Amino acid sequence: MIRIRNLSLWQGDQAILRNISLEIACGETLGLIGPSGGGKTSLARMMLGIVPRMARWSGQIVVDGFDVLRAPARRLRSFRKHDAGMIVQALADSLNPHLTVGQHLHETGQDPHRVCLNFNIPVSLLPRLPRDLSGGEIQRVLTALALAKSPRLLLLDEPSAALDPANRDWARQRFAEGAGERAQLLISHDLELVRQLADRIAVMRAGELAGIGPAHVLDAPQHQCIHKFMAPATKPAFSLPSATPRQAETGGLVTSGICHMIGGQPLLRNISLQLPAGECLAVLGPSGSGKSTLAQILAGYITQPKGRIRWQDGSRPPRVALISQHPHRAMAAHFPVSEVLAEALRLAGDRPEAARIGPLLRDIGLPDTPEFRARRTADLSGGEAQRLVIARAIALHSDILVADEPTSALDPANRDQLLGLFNRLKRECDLALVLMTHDRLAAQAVADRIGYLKDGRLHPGWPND
Amino acid sequence: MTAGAIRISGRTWAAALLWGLAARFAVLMLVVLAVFILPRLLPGDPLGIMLSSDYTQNLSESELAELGARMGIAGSGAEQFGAWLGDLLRGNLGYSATHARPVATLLAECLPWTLLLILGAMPVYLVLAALAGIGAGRAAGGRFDRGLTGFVTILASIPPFVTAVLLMLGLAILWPVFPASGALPMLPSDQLVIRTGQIALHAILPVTALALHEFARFYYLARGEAAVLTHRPFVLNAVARGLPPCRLLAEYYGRNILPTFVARLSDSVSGLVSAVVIIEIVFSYPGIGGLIYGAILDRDYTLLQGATIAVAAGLLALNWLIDAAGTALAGRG
Repeated sequence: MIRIRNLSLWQGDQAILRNISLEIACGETLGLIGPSGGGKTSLARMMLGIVPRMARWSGQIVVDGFDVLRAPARRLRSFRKHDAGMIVQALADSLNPHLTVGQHLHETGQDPHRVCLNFNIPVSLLPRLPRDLSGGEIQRVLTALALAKSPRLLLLDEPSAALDPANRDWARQRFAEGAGERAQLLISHDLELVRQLADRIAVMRAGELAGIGPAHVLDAPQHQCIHKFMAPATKPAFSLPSATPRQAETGGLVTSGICHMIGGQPLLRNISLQLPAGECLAVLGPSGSGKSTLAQILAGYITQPKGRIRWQDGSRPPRVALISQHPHRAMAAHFPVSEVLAEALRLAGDRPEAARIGPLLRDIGLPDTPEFRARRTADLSGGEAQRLVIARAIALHSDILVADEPTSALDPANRDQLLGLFNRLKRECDLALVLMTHDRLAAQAVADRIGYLKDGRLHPGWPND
Repeated sequence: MTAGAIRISGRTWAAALLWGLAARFAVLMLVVLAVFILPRLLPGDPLGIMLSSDYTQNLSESELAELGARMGIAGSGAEQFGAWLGDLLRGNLGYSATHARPVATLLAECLPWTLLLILGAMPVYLVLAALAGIGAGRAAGGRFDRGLTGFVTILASIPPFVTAVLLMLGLAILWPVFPASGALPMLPSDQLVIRTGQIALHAILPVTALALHEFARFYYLARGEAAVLTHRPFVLNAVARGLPPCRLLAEYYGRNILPTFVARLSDSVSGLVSAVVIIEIVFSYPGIGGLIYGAILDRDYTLLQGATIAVAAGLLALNWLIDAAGTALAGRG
């Protein structure tokens, strides 16, 4: 059904895709995995005929005899509207900030209320603007927009990273349903999801197809590349016990009475928490329960008329860093990578020397090369941007680090490296870490305290679902 | 930083609104003071200008004093200001001796014509600039963009009075398709339909001159915004969904450009009013611009003061409303 032949894409001198050839038959799901920054998203966009401006390309993409890259605009639009669907990761800005959920769903040509019921979206979200949606809610709206038209070609680009476990299962079922009548391309770092859905698996790195084979390669990785990608079997730092309990506490975060309303409905009611320095609190909870809002309140982005957020001992104001859930939105698009970090270093009172930027990049698993340092943040992949935002937060030497879904766009190897880094920061820098996540494994690996948000309150312990 | 990071709660928004109103009231008070002092710094006074024509030469001293009192120029500066401010607070704008009518009546006659020009030009240049700017910005660097941006750059470098004169020369004198001056013909029709047509015909040239003046400003704005929007994920997603071009244009580009347009509008309305004054003078249009210009020449203090304050109050109110709307829109991220 889809045949890609010798597809290459260059942006300036940089090759984004090199000589890619692959086929996906009708009724087949191809899993595409590989380290972030490897060109997976660019490939998916090309399959819809979306070529970055000022880029050169060669090769051919044919869908059912329809040459996507050379089609006239009108035919291409009709192909995108009726035949193809793409679900991208719900980063901020995935939806039009000036249209409500209802107005978005109206684009499907179906009754928004019915779409809501079909796609597990609470009807109460219909009048909301995207700024009042959680990552998981945006993800479900994107899913509805792509699936409501029953496409023959479905491109899934990290379709579940922003979802909580219950919705992830639901989404997986939706992608499995009807997969027999369409061709699917699944891009994901979630190897579990790939294993469950994909018939064949392709590995892509640095713009090249490193290997393609039946799905069971994941169970016994032969190819060295797949092996490398699938995270080292031994997990350094990951399994390290947390630091010995501290006797004399050096300080801590104490909050009381945090409340927040959205559209007249209370989202957070009277949240109080305590977190000593050098410990981590993981906050779990279904999507839309207010995790991101709580993160923004703790970081001081949303002012609190009534609640109090204090740093104990109180001798000096604490330094707070927020790792945003939406990394691309959190950085100036025109900044080069080095400038993003240099700015944070200056803010922390350090001299922004190149020698200080290198360790920051290496610690987080980003390449420390002159080319990478000169790249604009807008050109980074989802995983790279997420790690850069984390590196920036670390460069601030903050007392409190609020991390909002920091692992959602990372591949397994990078995730483990990040969690190891968090553990080290807690131990060595007395960092108070607040982690908002859906990822239970991540919470287990770094958290000293676990809590979950439900009905606007913070309950201690694991959520029971 | 993140979407919706800065949310404006209802209470602080209301407070900002009130604060803005108070600040603008203070500005209006400054205008009141300036508009009283500045005309008096001009050489000559209303009485002197009137007496320079010969048929008033034989007035007695007491008659002159009485005339001066009616014009509001009797007594010391402080007394004049006190009397005028008192009248102003009671809502009485004074009496224009040159026109022999109350200032309020004169303003009521002229303001609609000025508003006609402004409200006629505004949608024209806003919509055209948005369409042209989005078209150019979506394919920034392309052929359409280079051609149009070059043309607009030339247009932007011509001051409004030159455009007005050129338009008049071209379309009213050399090729007389439109009337060259006034808002109505010498003998306006009594029938409403014909009269409306006549008004429209007379308004076309001044409205065009005004719209051309503001077009460039908003074209650049729309072009820059559209060039950025093209790369934003939600626009890419919308393109990937194969939305109809008109919906993409209106709901995706248009709506997202609106907040910047509104913000720019709030600081450009004052420029618009100064342009309208000049254009009214060129086209002898009976709006408030011609009125103010005449008042300066005649040293008609009361009329000048009244007209300036009315314009300033209107501008500040408009500016306040637009700012409030802009703040509400900007909160969406």
